[in-house]
Amino acid sequence: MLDINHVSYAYDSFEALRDVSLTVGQGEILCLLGPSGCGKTTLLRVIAGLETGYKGQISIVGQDLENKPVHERDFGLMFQDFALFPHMTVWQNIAYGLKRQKLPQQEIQNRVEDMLGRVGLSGLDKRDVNLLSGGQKQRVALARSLAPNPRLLMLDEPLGSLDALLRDQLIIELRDIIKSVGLTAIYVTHDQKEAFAIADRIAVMNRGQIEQVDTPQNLYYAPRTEFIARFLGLSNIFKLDSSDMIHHRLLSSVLADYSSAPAVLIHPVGIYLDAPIDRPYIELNGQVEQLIFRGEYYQTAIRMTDGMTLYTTTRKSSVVIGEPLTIFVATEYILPLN
Amino acid sequence: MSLRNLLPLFLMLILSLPVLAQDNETVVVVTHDSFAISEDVLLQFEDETGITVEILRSGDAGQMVNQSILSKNNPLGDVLYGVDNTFLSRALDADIFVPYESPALEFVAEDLQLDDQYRVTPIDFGDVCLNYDVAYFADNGLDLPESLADLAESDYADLLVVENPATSSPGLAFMLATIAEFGTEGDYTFLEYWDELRENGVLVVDGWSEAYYGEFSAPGRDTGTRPLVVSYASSPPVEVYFSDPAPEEAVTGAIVADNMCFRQIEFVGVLDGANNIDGAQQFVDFMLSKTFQEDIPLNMFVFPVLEDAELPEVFVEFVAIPENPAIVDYELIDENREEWIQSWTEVMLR
Amino acid sequence: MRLPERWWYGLYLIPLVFLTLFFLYPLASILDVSLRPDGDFEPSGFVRLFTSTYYAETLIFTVYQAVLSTALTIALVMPSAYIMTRYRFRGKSLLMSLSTLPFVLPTVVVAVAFMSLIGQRGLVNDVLKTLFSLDYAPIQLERTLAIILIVHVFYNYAVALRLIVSYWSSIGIETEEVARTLGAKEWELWRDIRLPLLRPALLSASALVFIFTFTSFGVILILGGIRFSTLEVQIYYQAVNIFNLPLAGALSLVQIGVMFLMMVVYTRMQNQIQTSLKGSKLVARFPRNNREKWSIRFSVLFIIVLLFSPLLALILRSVSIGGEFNLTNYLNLTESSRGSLLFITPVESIWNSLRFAGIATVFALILGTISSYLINYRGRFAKVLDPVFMLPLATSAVTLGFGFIIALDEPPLNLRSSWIIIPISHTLVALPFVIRSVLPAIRAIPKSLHEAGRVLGAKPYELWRTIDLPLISRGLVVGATFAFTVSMGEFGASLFVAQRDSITMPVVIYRLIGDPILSSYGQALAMSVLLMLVCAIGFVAIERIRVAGVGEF
Repeated sequence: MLDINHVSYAYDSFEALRDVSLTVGQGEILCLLGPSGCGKTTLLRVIAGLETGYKGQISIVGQDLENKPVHERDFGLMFQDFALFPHMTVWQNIAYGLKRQKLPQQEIQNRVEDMLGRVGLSGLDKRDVNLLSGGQKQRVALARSLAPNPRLLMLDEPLGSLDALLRDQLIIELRDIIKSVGLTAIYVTHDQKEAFAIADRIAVMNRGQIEQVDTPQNLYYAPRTEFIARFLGLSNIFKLDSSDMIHHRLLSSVLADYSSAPAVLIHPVGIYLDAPIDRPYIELNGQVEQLIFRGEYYQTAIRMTDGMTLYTTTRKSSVVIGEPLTIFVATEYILPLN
Repeated sequence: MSLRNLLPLFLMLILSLPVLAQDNETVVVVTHDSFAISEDVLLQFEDETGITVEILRSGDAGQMVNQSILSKNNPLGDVLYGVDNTFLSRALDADIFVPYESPALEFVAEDLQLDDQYRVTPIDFGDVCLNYDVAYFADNGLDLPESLADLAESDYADLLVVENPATSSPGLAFMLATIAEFGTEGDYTFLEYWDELRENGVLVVDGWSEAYYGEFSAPGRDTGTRPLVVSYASSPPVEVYFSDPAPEEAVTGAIVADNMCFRQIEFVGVLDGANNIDGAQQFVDFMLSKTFQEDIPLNMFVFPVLEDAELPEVFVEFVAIPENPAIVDYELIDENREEWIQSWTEVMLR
Repeated sequence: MRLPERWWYGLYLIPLVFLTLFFLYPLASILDVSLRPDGDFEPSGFVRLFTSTYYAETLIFTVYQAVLSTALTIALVMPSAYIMTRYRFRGKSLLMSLSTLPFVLPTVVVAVAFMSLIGQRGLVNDVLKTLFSLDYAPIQLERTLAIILIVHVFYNYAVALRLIVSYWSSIGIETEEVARTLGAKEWELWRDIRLPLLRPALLSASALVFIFTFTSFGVILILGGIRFSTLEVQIYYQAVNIFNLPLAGALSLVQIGVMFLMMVVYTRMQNQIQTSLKGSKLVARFPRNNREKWSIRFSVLFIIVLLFSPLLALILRSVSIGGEFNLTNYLNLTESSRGSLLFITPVESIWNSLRFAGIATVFALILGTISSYLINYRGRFAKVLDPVFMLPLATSAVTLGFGFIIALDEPPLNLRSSWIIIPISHTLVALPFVIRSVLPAIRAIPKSLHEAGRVLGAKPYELWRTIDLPLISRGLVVGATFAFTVSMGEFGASLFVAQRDSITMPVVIYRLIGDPILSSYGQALAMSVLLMLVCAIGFVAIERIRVAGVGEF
């Protein structure tokens, strides 16, 4: 439904977006994920029309958005700091967009009440927004952006200013609400947990470019670039031309196939303590070097005989430091990285 | 902004539209603060001509002339009265008058008609002289000063009040008298004289009213402390006239010794660009009429220019006329007045 | 705010055009009259300025009295500042609030009030005369330097007090307490801790008071007389009395130059204060012993006497004639005769003042708001604009008035005899006050609010109306009240431009007190009381809204 075609954007001689292309399907929740400065917020603002002067094309259901002013685009936008109108009540905030559409009073009334119900704030319509809690403010902001029935909803790190517990709770609610309305949404965040929880697809951005667009699962289990792997916090990344060169014969025979890639990932999820039954694997010997208790699991570092260190997680408390250990690496989880 | 919000703004603007012009004709007389004439005299003019007279007081004589010059393109009124022979050249040079030769000038002495172009018309004249408080001098056994130089003596310390020559025409006249006496060149000029006066405690005020009514110690005033003031030779008769009960002898006197007085002539002129030139000219004629002229002495303490105007009895009895008033060449005044005033200021007002 | 739609540009032009026509053009005329009096280049004014010692002395005197006034003010403020910072007591915020009243009172009113208190015919003299059976007035303060200094202290007391107290309150008392434990006595605390730490606030307050007293006009004109002429009074004198326009022009330029310099210095100091404000607040506590209680009482009494006795004297004098209660002075205000000093009745001048103030307020609000947006608009242009809009504040009202009468005399701007020239001059004087109230309010609006509004479908005008306007409304009200009060009390420029039937209350008061006739003096008193009341009402309004912390003053 939304087509972004080779969009580039620079300001103050800084290239914020470089040849970005992306498609968002109707009813899809697409997440823009990346570190700060990668251009995700900029892309959002360009789509909203808050930034102008970009190169390339952006169109929605075939209509080019180039000269369309912000207030005519019919998009919804949620800000990190909520940007609630401090001089208006909850009801007035939510009704704002509807008033701009010049809807009849009765319909505005109905919609606002409906929205309040959807976000779970019925009864708070007369409240002064400055007196609300963080979570409540976020809901009002959501209700406000949803009320005018936008054809696209954009969310710019909307949970950023809330505490972790609230965030975990709200991200699920958000997805439910968006899906229940059937909205197309673009969600911007730097937090992968949020991205995984909410998105249908994720576009990982780095330095103004999109590195990979994929489902959360594919992204996590098969990241295509070193950046993504690192960003997702995956360990066991090895550069093939560095002194980290892996000498293990078995490993290197597998690796020979990937020698054109600059780096390789041995996905922690593919490292087993028992030989897997249903998939090809290689066997490696080493010694447990480090065992850190993390609550749900132990973070384990195993030093292989040729000097390479692999990280994985274990549940077994029977693994002891200093003990020799044999691990099994599923070959499908040895991945080339660009 | 809705119309409702704009309404008060609108109202405010409308209410400030200038008041609609009056039906009857008016003539505005621009004058100094010391202008005074009997109400029935003015009423007579109004009855005769049907023109309403409005008086616009504009400060001291100097300020009045300056204001008129500054508003040359938008004159404040129709006639300007109160410019005297000392400020005259400033007004004439600024070209603010339109000439008018009144038929009544036939009855006015030639030597009073200083402008041959009839841009201004003489109305009254007086001698600016020192006035003294009779009672004070008698009580303190003090002799009257016999020359200007005496005023700098310690005997007369803190006794004199004068007017600022920049703002007051009698003040300027008195300064000119000192210039006539002490000159402007050499070791001891009028500036040195004034310096001595300053050290001798002379009080300088802005205008004649303030000096005469405010600081002069003659009876009838509640705050005056100075027994010597620069005023007119014709002031003492008026003091007698207004005292109640009428005293046998004068309570104030004028010092008319040689070179201590300065003759001052006051003029009226029709302002160029005035709204009512015709009315202005009628008023000028009226100012030269017997009614007006005879009303001048007791109101403004000066002499009428009309030769056959009758003087009030009290004037005849108590007035003193200086035989040898100080004289400064009219052209000299013209050339140097500004410079003299400026230098005086720099000496006196520090 | 990013680049606005095209039609906004037109609006932005309005204040610029206004400033050009009614400020820069008169300023240029002043330059012209002082350098080319008769058409050819002939800086006789400047020559006289530099060759005669009289004017150097005038400048020196101006600085001298300003320095003395500043020193006196700060010295008298310090004990009160200590009390106000340190202690809590009932009525403290009311007192602090009320003490700012003098600042908004017109100079004419203050001068007359002090005359009513300690003048020749003042209350104190009368009391002393009856008490000691004297026939002369024992206190002769009129036309002395002393009374000028006293009035300056009166005016600027609260300004300095508030500045120092607010800064002091934000410095922690920990250093003081540590010093105490190390054995420092009270006076050593002052010398080693308090004064050094307060230095930025003291400097800033001194700079501000210096600026105000340097440009003091009405007070010196009325109470000092021409002998104590400062730069401002001299400009007036040269223009209106001596009629040496080139010299008046030259003096005006000197005044502008000096003022601009001082504004730069002051704004630098203000920035320093902002950056060095510490986080912890000094907690004011209740007094604990009798010594502390009595010092509070004394301090409060001092402030009340200093700031309110003149006003009280004014009111008392205005309703008493010959020792008895009598409202004739007020009744006389409706009278005018041909013999009166004024062209119109005093009551008509009240109406003049009110309507001019109303118009000036509207103009100043509109222009000030547009200017604030212009200044807020990020860009190189804005950096230059802020001081440009502040220039009218640096230029004294006297200079402005002088510029008006020599510039606006011919077509196409022949406004000299039109009453409109008065609200225009008042607008100029009030403009900086409006900007200083509205600009911070505009700056406080988060950018995201505009963006949210735009995304929700608001067109540019709707955006302003539904978001900006409600959020800056407090700033607008404070600005409007300032503008109104300033216009009502404006004296310097009005003295030049008000004439005939367009004279305003301050000018009327000035004319009346110069008239030796007693009834005129009485009328002046009555008028002063009325003007004082109007300004007091405006002041209460400002204070109530200011509690929300709006604006920079």
